[in-house]
Amino acid sequence: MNQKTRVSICALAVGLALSGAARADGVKFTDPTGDDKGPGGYTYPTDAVYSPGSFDLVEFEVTAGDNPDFRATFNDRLADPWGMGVGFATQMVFIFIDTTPGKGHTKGLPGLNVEFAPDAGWDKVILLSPQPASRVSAEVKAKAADLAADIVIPRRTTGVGKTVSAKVKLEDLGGGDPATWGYQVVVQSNEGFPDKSDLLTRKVNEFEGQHRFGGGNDGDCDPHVMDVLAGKGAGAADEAQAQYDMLKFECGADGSSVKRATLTMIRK
Amino acid sequence: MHLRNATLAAAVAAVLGLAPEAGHAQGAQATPIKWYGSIYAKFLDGNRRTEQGLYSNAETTPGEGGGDQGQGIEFELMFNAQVSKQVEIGGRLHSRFNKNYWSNYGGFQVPDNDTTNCGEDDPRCNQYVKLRGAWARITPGYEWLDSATIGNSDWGMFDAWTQGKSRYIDRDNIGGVLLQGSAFDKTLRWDLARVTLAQYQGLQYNTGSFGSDNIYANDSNWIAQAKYTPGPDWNATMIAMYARDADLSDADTSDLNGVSERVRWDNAVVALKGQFTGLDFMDLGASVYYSDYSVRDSLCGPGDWNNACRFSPVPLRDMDDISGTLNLNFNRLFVDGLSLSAQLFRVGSDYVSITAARREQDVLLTEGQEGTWQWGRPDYNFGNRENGNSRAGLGYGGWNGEVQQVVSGMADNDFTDFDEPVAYTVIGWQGVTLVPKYSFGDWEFAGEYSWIDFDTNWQACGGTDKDVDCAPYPRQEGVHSWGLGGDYRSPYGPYQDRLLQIFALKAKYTLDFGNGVDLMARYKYIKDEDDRVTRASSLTDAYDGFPNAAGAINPDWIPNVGLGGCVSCDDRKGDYDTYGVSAGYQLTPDLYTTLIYELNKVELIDGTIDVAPIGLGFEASNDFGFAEYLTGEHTKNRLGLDFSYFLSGVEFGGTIDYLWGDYDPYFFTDQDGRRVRLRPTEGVSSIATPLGNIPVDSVDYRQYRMKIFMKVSF
Repeated sequence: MNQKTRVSICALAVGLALSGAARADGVKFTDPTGDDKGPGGYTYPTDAVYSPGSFDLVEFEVTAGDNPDFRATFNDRLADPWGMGVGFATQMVFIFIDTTPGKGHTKGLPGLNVEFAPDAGWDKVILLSPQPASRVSAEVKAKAADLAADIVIPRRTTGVGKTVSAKVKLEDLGGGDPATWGYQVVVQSNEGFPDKSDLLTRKVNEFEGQHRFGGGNDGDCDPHVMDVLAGKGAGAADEAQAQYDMLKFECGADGSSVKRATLTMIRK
Repeated sequence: MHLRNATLAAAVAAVLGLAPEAGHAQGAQATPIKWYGSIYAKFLDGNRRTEQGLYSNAETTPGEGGGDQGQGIEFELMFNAQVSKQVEIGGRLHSRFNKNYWSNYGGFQVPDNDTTNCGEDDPRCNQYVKLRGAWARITPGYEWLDSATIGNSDWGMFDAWTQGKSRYIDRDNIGGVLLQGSAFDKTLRWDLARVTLAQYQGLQYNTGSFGSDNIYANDSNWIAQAKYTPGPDWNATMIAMYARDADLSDADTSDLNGVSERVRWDNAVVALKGQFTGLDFMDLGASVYYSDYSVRDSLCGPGDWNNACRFSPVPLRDMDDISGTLNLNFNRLFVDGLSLSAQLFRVGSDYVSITAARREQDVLLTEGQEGTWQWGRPDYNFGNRENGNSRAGLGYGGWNGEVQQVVSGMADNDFTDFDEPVAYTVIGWQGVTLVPKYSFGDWEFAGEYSWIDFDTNWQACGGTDKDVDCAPYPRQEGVHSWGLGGDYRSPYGPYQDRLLQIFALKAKYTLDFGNGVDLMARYKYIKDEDDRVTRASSLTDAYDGFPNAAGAINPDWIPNVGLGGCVSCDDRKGDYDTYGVSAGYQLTPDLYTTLIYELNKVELIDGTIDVAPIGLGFEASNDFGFAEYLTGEHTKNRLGLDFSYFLSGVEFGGTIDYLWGDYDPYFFTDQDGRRVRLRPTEGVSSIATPLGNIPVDSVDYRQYRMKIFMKVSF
């Protein structure tokens, strides 16, 4: 291989990298601190591993490129008290993406007890879990088989500092420009021993327990969600109230759902 | 109830804040009992050929111990139910592992009142399902009380420095009563508990015994904490605990008016913790703990480093101390992706918390020492299988898992497997740890530097005579600054002047090939230096010919009392290098495999051939002791294969290790007041040391071990 060929290959590689970077821009949203209360009254479990702020989403970012990083940042330093080996343990993040407005699923994932507004259907959802990808995949097959084609499990999810992140190939999301998509980021907790139908999510009951959120309902009519993006995703104080309003729900006397919490998408 | 009485009762209840909130008493919702659980099977194989249990155990008690052989299965059945709106219950039934090998089909044999044949009458061998924990949680709806829980718990709502997790076999088998409440719109939450002390949580691992005057059933730890979280920027927690062990008063011999009790020991800890996250560039956390411990002096008699109380998780005399941490976390340092965590810490030599975590929690930022060198007990020098201590533990390979730092004198690693973490007591540690992390593209980098001085750096424990001045401190195995890696539950050495430094680097990269190859490389260097005796006048006290080892010490060795005045002859210097690489790959959506290679090298100079652990006793014996001569070069290789395989509802996982290496012994002696290398002359096959006639040739080691498990959750 002569020098001219090497230079050409290098130039091509740099060009491809630059073109990849130029094709899609990053996007960033912020979320107010202190709104990790679901619809307004949820409380953390009482075990010390659930430290204050550990489910309080403060920033969500998608980096540029063909293999963008999806990053969720919390208001507390991540810890790995359960030895998951990936830098975090208690959090689980669902990143719902609306790549094609007017289409997509309005049904949430099992265990979240939420649905999406008709004009905010999701096309893809990325699961950021500290569990091994194989375990998440097996759970998806068992509990959300009908949605499995649109559930993306990154091959590696890590936690560093306050940020949980994973890379996902753009082609796995159907291609396009992430900067133009709508997003909804749902913060839940990694539950290694989930209920029969729950996708590795932790329950919210009326009273908090050692490993159970409180402030909700003992039935499955309440959203099992601690924090979401709301408003314009700019971190304004009134976005906390917008979140509480979005997560409003209504239960029957027997714990059945009268009105599900209905999420919308946030766009730049 | 008469209407007037009912009205009055309701009014009184309302005044006292005992009235249920609307909706609680009404519409009680009972739900069906929920059953769930698991079946867990384990397959062990290895070339140590030990069969005293389906896990590791460092116990050398006859009939106890660990094993690397066999297959067994456990069944766990858990349940919970909402009895009413105000009552919830739960529990766990379990047939846990011990020696219930398939080969003895669950221990089934004709009952013969024989506990030596691993049959029906030996609870370690039969597969009886037993109640491991049960609890009832009451949520009465009072304003002042959120819930009361009565029964078993792991007490995870408290912290590792006070009431920590103990997990002695089972996760939740310590019982107690827990009240929890909140105020100010849940910004203030409080917990108050009376936790019954497990019988081993006491002086000499004992709070009393059945049928004696040393009662135990009502010994407990009272603990209260209040957590205040006024907003997202800061929070604070106050903790106070008081643990007490009582026995009967020997002055009260009449039971006509009841029998008086007296305190054997008591232990109070108060703590304040806080966290501030209100700055963009940095988070701040701090904690401070003060402990006070008192014990009746007569319980352990006059002092001696090897006295009857040597095996005790708590001191033998009164003491108090302060401990704490200061954490600074810079989440973005100069550039995106770069963070730095710093921890300043002190664990006082005299800090005592009898109920602190024994394992499964980590109080320090440092990753600590390497698990592979933790108390493997392979009998490095002689390979004497007849020595029970040689068969105990995990053998040459040690633990693959991380080392977790705890502040308990009863750090515990029994009933673990070689792929699990290992707990190590850090009583006396003080210093600083820096952990930078940097992620860039597909690369992740992490590092550590720790500088660790010791509050246990002292001469004769701060006095002049080890037998008198070290009497307050339990010796336990007493090899804290001896051998490879030290000992995980012996924090005290009579003469110590130690500095421990840890350097670690780790890089991870995901190679974009196929499903992605997760590559990892790491390097770690531990520099462990201990000058031990630093003044010539103390040498005789320290190296007095080891009278406590009479009958156990090597009879061919000629004592050198006082090391001839050579202060540097007992210095210890250990250099530990670890190199590791691994590659992980998702072979199928269900199967993930990791191939691992590690090279561990240690160069250890542990005094001269005249030096043995100060105050050496029975542990010198090659027949039943555990102190070993380890000066020289050690090389250990590990080739491992990890896998995990998931299907819906079932997980298979495992590790297969092959370890090989050698030990090339060095010998030093003192000459003209300084330490010099002793090179054996031709024809000399061994050198006499207090711990035996050590062969001069290098020793080879080989270990194969396998653990494969299946866990079905239902």
